[in-house]
Amino acid sequence: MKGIADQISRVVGHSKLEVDVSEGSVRDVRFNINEDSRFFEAFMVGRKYDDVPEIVTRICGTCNANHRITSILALENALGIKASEQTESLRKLVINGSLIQSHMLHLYLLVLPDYIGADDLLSSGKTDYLKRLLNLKRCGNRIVEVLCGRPIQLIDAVVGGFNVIPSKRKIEELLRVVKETRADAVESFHLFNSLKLPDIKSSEKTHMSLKSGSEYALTGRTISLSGCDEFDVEEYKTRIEETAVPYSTSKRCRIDGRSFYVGARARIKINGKLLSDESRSLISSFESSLDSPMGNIPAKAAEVLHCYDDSLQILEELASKGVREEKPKIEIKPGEGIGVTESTRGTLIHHYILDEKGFVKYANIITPTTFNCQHIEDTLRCNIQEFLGSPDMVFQLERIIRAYDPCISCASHFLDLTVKEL
Amino acid sequence: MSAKKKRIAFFEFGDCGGCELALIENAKAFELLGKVEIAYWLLLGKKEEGPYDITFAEGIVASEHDIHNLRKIREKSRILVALGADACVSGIPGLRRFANKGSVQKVYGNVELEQKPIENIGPLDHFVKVDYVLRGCPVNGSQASKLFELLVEDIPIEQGEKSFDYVKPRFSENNVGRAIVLDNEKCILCERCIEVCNDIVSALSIAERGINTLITPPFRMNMDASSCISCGQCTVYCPVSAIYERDNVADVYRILSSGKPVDAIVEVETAVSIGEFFGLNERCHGMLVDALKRIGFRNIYLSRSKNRAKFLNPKPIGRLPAIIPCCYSAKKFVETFYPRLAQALTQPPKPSFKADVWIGPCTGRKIDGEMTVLTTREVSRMIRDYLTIKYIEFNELEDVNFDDVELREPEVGRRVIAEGALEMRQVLDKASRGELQGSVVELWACPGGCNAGGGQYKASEEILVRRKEWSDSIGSALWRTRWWVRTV
Repeated sequence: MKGIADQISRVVGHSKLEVDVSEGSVRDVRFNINEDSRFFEAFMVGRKYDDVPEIVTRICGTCNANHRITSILALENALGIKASEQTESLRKLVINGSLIQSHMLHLYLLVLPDYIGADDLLSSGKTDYLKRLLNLKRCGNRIVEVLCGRPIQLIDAVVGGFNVIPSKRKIEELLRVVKETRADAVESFHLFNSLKLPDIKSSEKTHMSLKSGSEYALTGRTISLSGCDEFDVEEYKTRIEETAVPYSTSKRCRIDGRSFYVGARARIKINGKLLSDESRSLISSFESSLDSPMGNIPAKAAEVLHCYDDSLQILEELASKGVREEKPKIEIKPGEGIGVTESTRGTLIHHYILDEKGFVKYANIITPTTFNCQHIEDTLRCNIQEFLGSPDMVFQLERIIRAYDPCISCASHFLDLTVKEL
Repeated sequence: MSAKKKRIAFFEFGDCGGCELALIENAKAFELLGKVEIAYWLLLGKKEEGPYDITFAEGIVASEHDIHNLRKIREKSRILVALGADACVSGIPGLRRFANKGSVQKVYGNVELEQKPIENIGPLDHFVKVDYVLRGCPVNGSQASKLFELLVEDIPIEQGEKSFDYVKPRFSENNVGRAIVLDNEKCILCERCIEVCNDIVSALSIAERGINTLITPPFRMNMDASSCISCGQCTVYCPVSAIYERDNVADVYRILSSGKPVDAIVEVETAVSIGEFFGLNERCHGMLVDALKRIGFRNIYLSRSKNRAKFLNPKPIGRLPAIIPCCYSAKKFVETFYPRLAQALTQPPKPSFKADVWIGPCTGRKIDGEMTVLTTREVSRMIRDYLTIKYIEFNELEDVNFDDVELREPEVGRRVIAEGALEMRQVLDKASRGELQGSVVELWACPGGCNAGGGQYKASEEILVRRKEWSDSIGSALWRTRWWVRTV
């Protein structure tokens, strides 16, 4: 047995890659998530419904806003609460803010060092990149902080709406911040679109994202498969097969027996026509790369620009119409509810069943990395032969995995690469 | 700063990674990262081997692999900082301890996982010594960067930064005995424990001066090595719980989760005083049984040491009386202060039931390692935490019968009974002079008997009278419900 052991860095979480080699050819590839099992779904059972958003927020530090909003949508669905138009647009704003900060963190801190020949951005001496990252992150964080009280582990978004409604002065401040940093978002897109991305084959072309007729869907009730097949979120259990594998603490998902991917590139492929005007005009420059996992990089940068334009529109509307205080009445009743949003890494599903006192009877959470896991493994499987034995094998494989932006603490942190000679 | 850059490492265990981001996102911390050498930080793509000067770690320790890694990290790092609620107190991910037993199966179906989750999960200082803790979920970025700055610039934290509320330097280790733990960090130097102990064994005293003043056994001995008899009276009178009984609740949960059926013996004194903690002025022993059964015990037995002592019928030797130490504290008292009388000692009376957990009013029993011991205070805390999580009020519990009761008191001749250290000294002095030839002596370490035991809550005269009345009458109360009262 011959083994190289290494840990995959610059991904959120601990993971491991195992490769079985026999007579110079690859027999098996296993992408292991060896983050400890976290049992969120198990210990939420028996808790009151209003505890749920507080707990799920702690699943992930980067996309906690999405986890929170998704659980709230699911609980509102179960309790039969219809959110007001103002609440809906404020929630869209929170998701936009979360996407901006999370996409930028991933692209600058985790992906960019691979292409500028540095170990990490901090020691690379590229102070202009760092400055830009901090500006963009500050904008995304500020949006979330103003609306939800904190940039990480937010508190003010609750079932029924928001604890605190931002004042007019705060909305105007956000408008100023968004306008100031928008130029940085445009520059970032051109930077990431100009990167020399490697040519990576991709096995499965199936992709999945939310779809809506009128807007670039970040929340919704209809899921689209590769843009042709559509199904309602209520059917997710019958359409998506979820299985556990012994070597990984994250479950695996397939649709009709095939692996599929979610994320920014799936969203652009399905909803690209509905992007904001400027970001839509940019699609043609990277459309050909969307079939490769590497296409995720320019797709994310274009999405950030869309989030800026969308936030600007919502904020201007709020500033002209004004925001008003609202307190919805919550009646506790038994019910079942599913909530779906598009998070940084792709489609996120929360599903709860409540009993008559409002206690959780059943909880199911499927995170985007769970969807992507099988696709990562399949893509590695069809590319690994090419890199086998080359000195930069670890670097190349890590680069593929990073393009997916797997969030391993969500799905169940280092990548250990082991090559086993059979 | 002088020549060498500090080597920084950042480790992440099982958690969300939010504290890492909170630190990176703070502009000042970001600036500081440029001044140091980052040796290990996976998010930034660094993975160099130790040693490290300053190590940050976040998350809970949840697998054998994690424990192994953490120990290695501790060896290699000069300063270890636990960052965030998960690393300090195990936070939200730690809630999984309360998940049901079948949770693995519920989540993963019937697939056998290669990486098995462990039961003994916990924050970092559960496994290694941590130098600084920074709480919050997530940590406050400016506080984290402030601590970071102080550590990087080598500014002594105790002197320079008075307003730094969230950083607690541990200047001394807890004095951990088998039954009593003394935490000088919490102590407010009110000296109540010294006053209480002076009447008993004088095991505690003041040491050092000025801001270094601390309460300690003489020569900073370990609690067990000193003259402390673990009677626990100091823990009853401490207003800030700086001196407290060693908490065995986690051990009990460990036994319960092992899968074997677990039986418990409840002492009468605990059964009658449990309602006080929950604000009920009535006898709640049935509810105690219900709560324990819900937590997962199999059989609950009721027993009373006062009655058990009567079944021992030792023969006096020579001019010395036969001495029954009714609790382990009394036994240690005689062995420490009257070693010449040790030959007349019998063993403390044991209950006739076989059980794994003993629930009683006494801290002294913790010296004996035979059973896991919970005091009244520990068991009421355990029940409260359990009920809070399950959204049950204490008065919603049902009145459930004990599985077996051992209360009968046989007729024995007149005995000399001594309660509390003062009486014990008088009786034992008499005994050494040979004045008690031929009689049998019963020794109880706590003044007022087990009703005012070291594991009970502090009580007024009135409540003590009520406890005594109830514990004497519980036998007849149980007779009335036609329970079988066991003859030993």
